[in-house]
Amino acid sequence: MKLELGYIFIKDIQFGNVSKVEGGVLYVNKDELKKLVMEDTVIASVDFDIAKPGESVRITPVKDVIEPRVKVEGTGAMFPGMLNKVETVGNGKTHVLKGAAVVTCGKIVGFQEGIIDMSGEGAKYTPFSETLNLVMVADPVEGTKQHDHEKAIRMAGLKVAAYIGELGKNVKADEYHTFETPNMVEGMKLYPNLPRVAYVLMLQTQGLLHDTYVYGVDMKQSISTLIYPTEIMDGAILSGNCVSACDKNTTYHHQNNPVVHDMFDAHGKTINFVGVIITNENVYLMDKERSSDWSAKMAAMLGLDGVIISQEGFGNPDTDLIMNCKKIEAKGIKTVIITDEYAGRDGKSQSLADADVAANAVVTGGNANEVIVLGSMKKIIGKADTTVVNTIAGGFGSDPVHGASLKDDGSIIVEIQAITGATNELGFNKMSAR
Amino acid sequence: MGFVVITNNTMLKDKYDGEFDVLYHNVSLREIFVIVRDKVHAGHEILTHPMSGSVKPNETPFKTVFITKEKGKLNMDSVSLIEGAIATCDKFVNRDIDYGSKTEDFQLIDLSLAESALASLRAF
Repeated sequence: MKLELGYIFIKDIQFGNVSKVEGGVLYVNKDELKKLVMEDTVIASVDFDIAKPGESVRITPVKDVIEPRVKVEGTGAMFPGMLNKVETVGNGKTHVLKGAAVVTCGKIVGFQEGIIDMSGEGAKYTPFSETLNLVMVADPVEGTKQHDHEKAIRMAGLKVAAYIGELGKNVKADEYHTFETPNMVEGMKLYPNLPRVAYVLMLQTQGLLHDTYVYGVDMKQSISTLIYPTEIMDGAILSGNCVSACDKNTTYHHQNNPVVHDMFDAHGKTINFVGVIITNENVYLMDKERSSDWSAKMAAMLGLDGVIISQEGFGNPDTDLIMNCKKIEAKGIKTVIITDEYAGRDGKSQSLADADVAANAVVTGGNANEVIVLGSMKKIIGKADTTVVNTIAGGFGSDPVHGASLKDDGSIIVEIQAITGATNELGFNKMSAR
Repeated sequence: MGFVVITNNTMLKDKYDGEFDVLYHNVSLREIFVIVRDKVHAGHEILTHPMSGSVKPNETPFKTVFITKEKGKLNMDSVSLIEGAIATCDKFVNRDIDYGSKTEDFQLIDLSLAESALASLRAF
């Protein structure tokens, strides 16, 4: 399967009368967008704002981040099985509004997740301080159930991203990049001497606010399966995960999965990138056994020499990560695992909830318990009062050392787990030992 | 396979009591883990991950864990899981937050995490 990604570099976003992409500027008619979102009767009110890199702006609580993309050639359409029909994507040509992002924001349940600072110390921890963000803040009608609220905001974000992406359909891209996965027989003939390596992508699948969808399927109801890496670039996998801001994979992360991109870069040079095995992280232990058995079986069936495994989340998924690792290693296939750590504020505690001697090659996204001070910002998009900031994961009401998270001057002291994407387990983060 | 559920979540108790065995305890999340550990020491096996959900142990007050109804030999995987959960619990600092009426949202999340296991649990 072959996909060409055309990057249209976006240098600015402005509200305007006509929605269009012209000269690298994304113009958005706010009223049109509002009308689109208000089609859902669950939504009571919606507003849009723009946040640019370097501005004194804090966005919180953040739900999802989505990159605007559009199918130009090939089968299927963006977010298949969810926003469009379920036809296979990942082939032909797709345009990307590179540098722009749709950020959905607003309270969904009593506890909140996710801070994006566009400048200052916090900006150094989130990749979304570097994107031009179109932020949607939406509230549901009174009495809306939590499940319906989550779905409404998720779907509104996808609709807005698809609408914005569509504006790039007939615009000439600045750069084209081609990604191709040959079938197994061709791949073996092309690269007989290169190690066969696949990617085991673990998806968050535990329940309300902890779900991931693949072509519209709630992934907890699936067994592990195979997918072409280019399908992921076309929105086949999307996030319904609202919890654990630092290490959840937003839809943007899936679209831009850096493991997929790096493996394509190495494909045909140092490895033969065979494909992607997607698997889940269910709560029931027998589901875990079944899914990890299946990942290992498929790895063996594909005749792999090596596998990279990435997890999503904390605690429960550590068990799936270790099961995948040791079962695949037991088939004689080398593994590298990618995770993050909850090692306590001093970094001295056990980092993961599970471990095994087979996990002898580990990449970490950082320690989510590290404490950071985020200076006050001139503008808040969303809400940053005590009901959000103190209750956010990583925040506190009255800490013996630090007091309350939110200070009188609007500055915040929190663990970095509060920052969207800070310790991302795909490696799409800014902390690095490099 | 028979199962029982240990929980401090009244939302789950109110929904499922009578349908299967619900051992409800009005205690903290950590104390639920200790009750589960004692059951494991008595020979029960853990069926659902005690660290279910990404909501942190110092964030949600609610926890539900399914275990086997029958007792057998001491299951070392279960011992390691529950000991790990208690250790994880202890490494998170106390946040001192009063959620007020918002505790209902935590109950709902815990219920949803527990229910995600039910279909497969009942299949066996």
